[in-house]
Amino acid sequence: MSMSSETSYSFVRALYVPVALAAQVTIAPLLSIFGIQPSVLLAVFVLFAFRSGPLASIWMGFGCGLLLDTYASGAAGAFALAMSLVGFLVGQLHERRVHVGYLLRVVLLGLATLLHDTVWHMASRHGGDSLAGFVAKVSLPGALYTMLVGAILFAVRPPRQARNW
Amino acid sequence: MLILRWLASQAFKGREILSILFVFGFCLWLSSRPEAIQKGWRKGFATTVFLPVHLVVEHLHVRWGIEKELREIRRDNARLIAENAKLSELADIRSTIGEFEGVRPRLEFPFIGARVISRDPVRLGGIWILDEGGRKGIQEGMAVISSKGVVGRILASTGGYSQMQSLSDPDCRVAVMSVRSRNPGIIHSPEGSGVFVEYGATSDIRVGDSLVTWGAGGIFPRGLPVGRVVEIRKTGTTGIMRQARIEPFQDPWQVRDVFVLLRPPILRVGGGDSLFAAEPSRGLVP
Repeated sequence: MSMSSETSYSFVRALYVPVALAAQVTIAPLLSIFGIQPSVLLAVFVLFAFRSGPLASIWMGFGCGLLLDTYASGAAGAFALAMSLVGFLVGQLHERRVHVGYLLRVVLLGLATLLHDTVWHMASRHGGDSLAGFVAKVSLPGALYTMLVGAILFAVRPPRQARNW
Repeated sequence: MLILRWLASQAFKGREILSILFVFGFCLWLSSRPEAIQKGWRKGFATTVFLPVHLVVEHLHVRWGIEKELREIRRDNARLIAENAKLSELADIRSTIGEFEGVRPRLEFPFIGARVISRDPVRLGGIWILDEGGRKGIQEGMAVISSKGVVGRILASTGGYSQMQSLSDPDCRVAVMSVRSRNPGIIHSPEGSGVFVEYGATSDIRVGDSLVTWGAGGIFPRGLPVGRVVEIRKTGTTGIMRQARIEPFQDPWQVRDVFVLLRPPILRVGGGDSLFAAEPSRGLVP
């Protein structure tokens, strides 16, 4: 009994995010410019959400977020919440439902990064007062850098034509 | 039963909403727990759900940490070895200069320090290369000494280097005399295997005598320490010459830093034109 190509592809695709998580903690610090790191994890995770839809993305984000929460400082559950939410929202633009062009994908990745950071910041109970400064000084530069990485990634992995548009 | 089936079908239809609601609820509940409970959850996750990941991460962390530390230790070790070699060299030079300070006031001639940079690693004698040459005033025929005694003489010099014939070279001959009896002899080193002094059967040279340069030949000033007689040998059938083995004051194997006496020789090495220097009769001021 052999697995269908779609099933085996789903298994492979599910490995992308954990691999990206490993890349985030090992390679991303090497790409740091003036202390700003790209989020390789989010770039791959957003791509995963486009490909796999909301349900898989919620649970994948929850698992990876919990893993990050386990080893990161701050309130436990903040990463899980942020990634699950991003997975849920981006997953609404599943390739099988909506066709999202290349540039829009890159823009959505930037927005997803900002959303992720904002949710994480609020869930970590850092306070709303410091949110604006955090977004302007940390999140926005990081989002731009992540968009750059995502632009390369999305160019390498173009959207699949699930429907004949 | 029907109600349960209906609920299940509704849950399946709204599984995305239910999932995100569950995640929301769980994460908000977890993040609102006290710090100690959050730590417990983290520890629990790390040792149960994420144990394989945790083991891999720990393994990689330890491995990379050790490798990084090893690289740093190796780099530091190389740097320390280089620094140590440099400091040892400086200490060596300082020690040599310190030893020579005792001899310096007794020297009548100016001198210049040099380092032996090349020599035969197997044979005792041979030609050695010094790292100073004509640019510093070193000329052919000048005496080379250390703080302990005679080392050799300059054979040739170029701008930055010079060739020195060691006392243990088979072609080197140095006129010496016993400090005790003032009787003369000739230092030579057949086959470079050891240093010997040849003297007449009537000369009074005994075991234990200290030998110094005699001054004859114009290469070495009079009175430079050469060595001590350790063994008397009889040579030939006629018995008119005798040979004694001497132990040089300066062990040829240990020579590293030397001093060249900037004193023009009376005669050039290898014969030829004679060249008389001004009052080169004494090397050491009594």
